[in-house]
Amino acid sequence: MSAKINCYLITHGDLGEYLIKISSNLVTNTVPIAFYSNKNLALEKIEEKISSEIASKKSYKHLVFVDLAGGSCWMLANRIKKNNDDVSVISGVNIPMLVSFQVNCCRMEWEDLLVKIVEDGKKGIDRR
Amino acid sequence: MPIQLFRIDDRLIHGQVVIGWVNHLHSKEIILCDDSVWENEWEKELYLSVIPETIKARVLNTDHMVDLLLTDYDLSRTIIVANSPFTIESLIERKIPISEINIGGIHFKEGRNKYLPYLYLSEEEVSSFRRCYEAGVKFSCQDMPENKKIPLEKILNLN
Repeated sequence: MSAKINCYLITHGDLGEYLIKISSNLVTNTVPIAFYSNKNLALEKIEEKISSEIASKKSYKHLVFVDLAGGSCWMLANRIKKNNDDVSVISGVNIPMLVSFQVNCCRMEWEDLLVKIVEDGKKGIDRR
Repeated sequence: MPIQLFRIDDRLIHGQVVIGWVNHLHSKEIILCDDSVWENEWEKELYLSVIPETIKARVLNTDHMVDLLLTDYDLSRTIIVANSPFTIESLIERKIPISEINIGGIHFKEGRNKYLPYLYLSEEEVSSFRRCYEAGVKFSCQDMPENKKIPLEKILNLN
């Protein structure tokens, strides 16, 4: 993997904090995930913080996980991504996705990594 | 011209509206009334993209909203969403009779004070609500259908 990666997680309430805690019990964090909650910060503030981080790391690829497609966190992530091909947004975040990200981020190419994370997230949904 | 739900929410269309209120009220249409979203094709597309295909949805600016509210278009299964009391004021100024508004959320931002977990207001917003109230608009705070309706006059001591 040639690109350096920055990863963010934006969720409603405390969900993201627990997802990160639980996934880091399962796999060592290769890349730290910066967590933002819409509970503690105004959406504009989150956008400002992440956008300035992105602007300061031009050679990086940036991945933004959000909980709910169509929710306010997803809207915000899409505004951050707007006109920036180095930013990708994945919604519906779950533990298998975060684990997949940590396991594969250093050994896969960027596009393949994004596909793999979404696939693994879907595999984690099962009905018997 | 009864409107099923006229909502103020600074996050406009999001999960609480599309999942919570639409399902509760069995709404058939969502109208987003916002001048800045209306001017921005990208934002417009983004908001409309989150609405299920079974729900009719559109973005109108305030002028178009006024035009629509002056017709006899059936809004009895329609949710209208605006982002602040200023939009309501501007409708009132144009002689649109509005009786009841749901306040679904105006969230934390610098310069706003907390009134409810989902209601933070600046002094300008409080004044705007006051003017609307004096013009006869009833506001009730209720973020989700299952939560308690709280009259705004109680919170802001508008009486």
